[in-house]
Amino acid sequence: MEEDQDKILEEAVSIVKKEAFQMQRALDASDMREALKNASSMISEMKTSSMSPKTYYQLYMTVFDQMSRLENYFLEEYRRGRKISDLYEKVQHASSILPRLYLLVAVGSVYITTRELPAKAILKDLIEMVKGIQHPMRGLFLRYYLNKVCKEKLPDKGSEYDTDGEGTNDSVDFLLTNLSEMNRLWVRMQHTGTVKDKTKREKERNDLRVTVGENIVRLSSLQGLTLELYISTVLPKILEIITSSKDSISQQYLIDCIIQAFPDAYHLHTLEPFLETLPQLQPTVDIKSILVNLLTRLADYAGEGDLDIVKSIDIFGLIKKAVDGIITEQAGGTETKALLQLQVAFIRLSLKCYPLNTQYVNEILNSSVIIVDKANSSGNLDGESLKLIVKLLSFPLETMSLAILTMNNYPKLMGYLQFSSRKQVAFKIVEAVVISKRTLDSVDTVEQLLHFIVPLLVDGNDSEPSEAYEFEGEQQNVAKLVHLVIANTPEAFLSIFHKFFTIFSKGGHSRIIYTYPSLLFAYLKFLKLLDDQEVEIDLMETLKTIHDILTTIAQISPDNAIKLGLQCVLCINSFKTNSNYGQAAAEFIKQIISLYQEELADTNSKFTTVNLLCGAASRIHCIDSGTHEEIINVILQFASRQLKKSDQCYSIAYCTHLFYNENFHEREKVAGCLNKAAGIARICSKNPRNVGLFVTLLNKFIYFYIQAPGSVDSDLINGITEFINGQINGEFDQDAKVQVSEARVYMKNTVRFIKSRQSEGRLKEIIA
Amino acid sequence: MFGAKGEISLELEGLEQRKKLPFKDISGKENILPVFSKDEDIVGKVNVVLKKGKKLEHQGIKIELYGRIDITYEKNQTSDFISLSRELEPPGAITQNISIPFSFNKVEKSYETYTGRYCKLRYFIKVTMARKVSSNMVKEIEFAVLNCQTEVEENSAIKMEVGIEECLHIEFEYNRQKYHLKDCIVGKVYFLLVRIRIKYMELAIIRRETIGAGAQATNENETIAKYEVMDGAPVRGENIPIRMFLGAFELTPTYYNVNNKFSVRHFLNLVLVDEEDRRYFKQQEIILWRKEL
Repeated sequence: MEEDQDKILEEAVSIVKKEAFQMQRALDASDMREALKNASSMISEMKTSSMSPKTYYQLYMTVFDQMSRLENYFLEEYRRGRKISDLYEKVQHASSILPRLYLLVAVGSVYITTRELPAKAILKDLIEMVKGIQHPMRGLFLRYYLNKVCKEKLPDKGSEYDTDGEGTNDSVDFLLTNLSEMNRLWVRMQHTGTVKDKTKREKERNDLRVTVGENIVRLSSLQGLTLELYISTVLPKILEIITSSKDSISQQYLIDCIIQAFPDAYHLHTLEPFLETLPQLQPTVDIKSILVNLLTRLADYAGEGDLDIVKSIDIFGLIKKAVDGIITEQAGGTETKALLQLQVAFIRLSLKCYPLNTQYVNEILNSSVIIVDKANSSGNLDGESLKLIVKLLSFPLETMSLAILTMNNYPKLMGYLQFSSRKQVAFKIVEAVVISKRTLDSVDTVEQLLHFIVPLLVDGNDSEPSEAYEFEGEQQNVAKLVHLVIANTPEAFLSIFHKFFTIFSKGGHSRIIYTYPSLLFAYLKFLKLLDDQEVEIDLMETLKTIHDILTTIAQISPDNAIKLGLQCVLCINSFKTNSNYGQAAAEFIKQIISLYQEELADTNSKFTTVNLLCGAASRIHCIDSGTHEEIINVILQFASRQLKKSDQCYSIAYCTHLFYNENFHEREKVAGCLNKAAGIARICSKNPRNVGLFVTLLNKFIYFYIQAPGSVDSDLINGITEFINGQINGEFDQDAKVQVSEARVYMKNTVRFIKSRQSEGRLKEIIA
Repeated sequence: MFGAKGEISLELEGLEQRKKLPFKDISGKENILPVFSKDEDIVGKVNVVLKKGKKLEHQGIKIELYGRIDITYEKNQTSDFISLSRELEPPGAITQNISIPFSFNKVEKSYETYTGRYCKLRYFIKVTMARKVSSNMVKEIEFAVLNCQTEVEENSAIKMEVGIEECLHIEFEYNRQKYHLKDCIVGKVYFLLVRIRIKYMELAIIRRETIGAGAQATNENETIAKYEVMDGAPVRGENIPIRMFLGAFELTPTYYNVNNKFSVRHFLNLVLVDEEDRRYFKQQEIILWRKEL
């Protein structure tokens, strides 16, 4: 088949070239008569019916090139004095119609150039005469040629051929007539030949469609095509041409041509007639994809600015009506995906045109719910559709952020998604809230939000585990939400927190480990804020909740619970307004101690924890002294019972602060601790790795030598210094190299400190 | 025979200024002929040129004007509707070169020079020098007569609706019934019903020569022009324009009853050809006339 076409083309082209050569010779010899004869023979090759549109197009292009030479010659002849009207008649003497009309168009275009007659008159004659070709393909190409050669010669506004100021109308008439006629020819192709050739024929028709669409392109590029002219004449006429053809291929293509060719502002102004046309198209026309194209373009246009027009035209209402019509007709059928694509385009447009109108978005979501519900019950909800639902949910979120929380249809639509998609949307919501740093200021909003993001918060029937890294990201973002809470009253604050607490508590340990600490800190931050603002409030309920939080964390991670618990204690301790919660603090700390005793087994964590405990306990003042003393003794006990001697030494050294701080100044006990630590250190002194321990100890000694005079003896300090210097400057094992060099740096800094004090006349007894 | 003693020739006056046009003779060969109108005088002269020192005796010189019709249908038949003879010289002898003027004045030449398929009408002048012993010296020259007509006022359009039931129904229109030879036929064909697969449509001009008159008359048709006006198959409602320049063809005016010998009439034939090459046609007579030379 293809080869046949090649052969036919080759033969035709060789004849065209031969005749073109003869024609050129005749033109060179100024033999017009002979040249026209050759031209006729050349054009006659296009009388063929055996070519496919693509092959014919190639032939047409070959002839087209030659025709332009002829046109040039006609113009030269005119300049040499030949009457163009004679030539116009002369070419009509050809008895064969196809060559005659091609030649007529060629002379006609030159005729316009000469301006001996108004362009309008010539165009009118040409457009009338070309009716003689009723064969679809030959007619389409002849008219395409007409369009091409007259392209620059239409009496458009501002054109030299516009003699009476009415030229644009004439050009419009010309192009509309040509469009109408070409469409008729094109549509007619569908009804020729046998039924079994239908596929081939439709392919051929598609190959030819640009020849028809060219008219719309030309119309759109007319300078004089004002909005007014478009509304009053051009669009109604094109729509009439389209609807009256009753041919789906044509309608599908030409409607799309309108969308692509004319300015978007024109589309907005003609939305109503345009949309009203769509239901009149053939049932097989895919109106949805047409609408998607239109809405996408309008959305892009709206995105570029100038939205004044939005105020004067009910864009949403008009489109809604059109879209709903389609939904009513097609929902539940096989077109779910396409319907949702349409909804996506619509929602995008609505968001661009009405970025603040949540009602509109909710309405679109509502009709989406209808589509999805029907599709779901008829089993037509495929994966692609689900992806589109995610889009429908994502777009409003990106634009409107938390305003989506007012849309009741949002979670309804979400409900149709499978777990992973639901979770994906939920995550996007959380992410959007976190990134926008929007404050969460009402119980209702939070309740809605939590409702929306429930897939992230608790396991449902269809839950699937996330990848660890994903899960972490999800929960970290969820955890951040609580820090966005801001409310007008403490009660509101607390009830919002409580919402979070209630839902977090259902999340299971894997989530709680992320969400509870965050919530705990949010609580503490809030309580501190209240206290700073001198708001007196009963904290018992809140502290109970905090306690519950800690208890739960303790089950999962005692270490964490201890750290967090200490934070709570310090927070309570810092209250100035609500200062009577020492008992609660004591209770917290007691529980922490029992956690230490019962849950901690690891040497390292015991060491770390005891130091933390020590640090916290040294700052506490809100607890009654008896309890406080008990606590201190327990901590001291913990310190002395560290497994490693060096750890014991460190911890005991730290414990000095328990006795000498803002609230206590017990020098003897400080001295006791230091001595005990020094005693243990001595046991450790054989291991050069422990040299750092001595430097630490030295610092503690110096600290208290300055802070609590009398608690430390300077000889002891000098003794330690001497020992250290001996260690770090002497021989040592290669194994201890790291520890020794660290100790050197530490020691160097310590010496520098001592010397700086000595330069101020202090620490004279200390040898550095 | 013994060699001619001289030559006789014939010439018409004022040929330099006169319009000359090509005319085909019956064999198709083109001759350029001077053109006269019906009441113009035919003026010229006969020249006798002697060979040096010779004398030419003759039985008289006469000049004749003929308007002749040749019909070559079935059997050849010649008739003269003009046959005029003038004595130019009485019998005698010519001793020196002479030039004898002649003139046919006020001879009405109402018929036009015409060469058709079977009928031919021509004008010629013939000079004859009668000889006693030798054969007569004869010379003929042909000239053409073309008569311009004035435009007739009454000239209505031709409109017609024709069709074959359930198959094809068209309405056509030609702007006039009478066209001059350089005229343009403008019209249109409107398709009311199309149930056949039309391949193309053409307009033909048929020339009908009617030989004889009255009951014995026979008609002979000849298509002398074909002009394609539509390519492809139209659908119902299609309106196809027609514009045919008659100047593209070699046509003669319509002649009615030329000296009771023949008539020439013209018909426009609208022909539709379908894909099986069946032809559907309708003929309409048009009157052709000569507006100018």
